[in-house]
Amino acid sequence: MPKVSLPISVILIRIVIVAVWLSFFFEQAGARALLHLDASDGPLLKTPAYWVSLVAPSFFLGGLWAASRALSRVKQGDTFGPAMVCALKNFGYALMLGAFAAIVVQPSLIHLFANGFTEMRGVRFDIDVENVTLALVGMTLILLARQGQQLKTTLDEFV
Amino acid sequence: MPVRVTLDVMLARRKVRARDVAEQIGLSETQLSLLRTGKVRGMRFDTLSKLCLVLECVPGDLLDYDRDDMDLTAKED
Repeated sequence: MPKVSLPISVILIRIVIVAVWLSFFFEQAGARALLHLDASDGPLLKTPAYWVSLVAPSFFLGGLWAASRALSRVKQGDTFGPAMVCALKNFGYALMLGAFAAIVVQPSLIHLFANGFTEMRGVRFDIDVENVTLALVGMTLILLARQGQQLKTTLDEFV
Repeated sequence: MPVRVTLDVMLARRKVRARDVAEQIGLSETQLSLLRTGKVRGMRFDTLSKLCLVLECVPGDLLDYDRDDMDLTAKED
């Protein structure tokens, strides 16, 4: 198996991703405990609302991980190969899914859990500019990756 | 396509093998074969100049054009 050495910038990005995820994990725990958002006396980490609140950031950080893969491909000189396109698409999908989770999934599920599944009238939305922008950026990345792949295929047909 | 690659004619005139030319200009045999049979979308200028250098010819010796009045209105694939 060939030894793959990651560029230092990619390693740094990955360290930052793990650090951000851990800090977010504990920050969320602290905030929810302070504000008594979960209204439970049990351990905070066992409350479903807490875990639901981690869904969107996990997607976003997964997207950053995919971005670091794309950067490492750039460093290795891969302009628009299959691995690069895959990494860009994954980044785009992660941003879109994260934004969707933040806008629709999290508010609905947190509301459901908070009320013990007793009331649910329609779907809850939490539309804010940041998440809508991230979703559009993700969609643009996916489209650009597809266009780039087509251009690369066309260029490869030139000898 | 009305532009034809006449590399085969030039190879025969110079009495060289396609394999040797491919090796000299840094193309694979498959790529050169695709070029000879016209199964490529285009040829890069650097490939053309290498072929000209190796075969001691000019681009006109490697390419030919069959007149087609529809070319002006033809759309890209």
